[in-house]
Amino acid sequence: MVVRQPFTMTARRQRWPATPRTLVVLLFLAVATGGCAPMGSAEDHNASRAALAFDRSLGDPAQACRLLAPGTLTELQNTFGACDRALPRQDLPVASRVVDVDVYGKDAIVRLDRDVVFLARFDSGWRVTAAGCTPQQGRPFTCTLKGS
Amino acid sequence: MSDSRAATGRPRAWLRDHSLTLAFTLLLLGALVGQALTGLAGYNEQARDAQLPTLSLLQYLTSSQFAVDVAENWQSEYLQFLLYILLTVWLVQVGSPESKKPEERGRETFEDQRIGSYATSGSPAWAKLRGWRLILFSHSLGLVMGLVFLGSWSAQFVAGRSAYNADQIQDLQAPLTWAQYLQAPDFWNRTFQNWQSEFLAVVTMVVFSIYLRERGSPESKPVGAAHDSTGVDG
Repeated sequence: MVVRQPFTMTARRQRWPATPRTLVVLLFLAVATGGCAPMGSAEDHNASRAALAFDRSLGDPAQACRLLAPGTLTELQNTFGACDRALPRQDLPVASRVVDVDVYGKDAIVRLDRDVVFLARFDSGWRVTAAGCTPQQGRPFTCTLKGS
Repeated sequence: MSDSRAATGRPRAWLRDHSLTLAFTLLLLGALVGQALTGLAGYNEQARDAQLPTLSLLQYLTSSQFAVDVAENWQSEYLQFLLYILLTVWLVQVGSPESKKPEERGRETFEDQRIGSYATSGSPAWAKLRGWRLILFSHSLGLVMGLVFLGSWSAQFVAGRSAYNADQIQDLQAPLTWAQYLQAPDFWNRTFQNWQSEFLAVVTMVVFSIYLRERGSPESKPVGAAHDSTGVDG
């Protein structure tokens, strides 16, 4: 049987100050954990799969074009013409396995055995923002395919 | 009749007695909402310009970008209060209502602090004791402020690295490791730009309150108090 404390002024004084304190704790926990929320093995896996799918579909340019981010697709078409004809001319390396992946929120870098691919997560899934990338000491990667 | 009047008066009296806490809690929530909405608008504007994915409000509230912006401000506020609580034990400013009198510097006596055998009937239970509980309670304010400062500064570090690395990837650059981000200008710039504003606010309050008054405010000396009178009593 639960015995409830009589609702007195004393009881109220003890209970109410807990409200702002609880609020602060909850807000703090939300902030402390918020930064980690978008990261996780599920998105690591999805980003890796999208990067590999792009590299493996380079033999089918129409399919590979569908995996490009809008800005990257626009830049390729503005510079070289229709995607399915322009993409094969980029001589992108074809990779077969994932070496490493880093996901931060909606952005990912996937290091493949023969390529480095950058991706962003849209409502439709992970899309390639840059591919054919090689590292430069202390500077951005140099990428054969990228957005403007 | 008198009972019902007392009952209706109770919530009003409670609101009056806690109005300072309530007002600042509402201001905090209002400011957080404003920060969230404007932060989301700014993020999405940049994302649309770069033809990158935008965020929903919920996604933004749980993003590292929002978390680091909140945490970097919180840590500096708690550091400000922590330092102010600790330094005012020993450091004084003659004429400031925020300061003790020079002769009162230090931890003060058991009698001054109403602890141990000098505790009164209204003193908190642990103030009447000796040993670790009295020591812990005697420093509980500083300890909690310090822990919240360290927690929010750590949250700034974790969320800051995540947000910074998202930007790095968008700029086609490699993300930083924990050790690299600890040495990165982004982490320390976010830290110092918040610290300097907090220290400015404290020194301004300490000095301005020597010569300026706000009638009725407990943060001010009485209007007629001499400029060189120190302490809250004026």
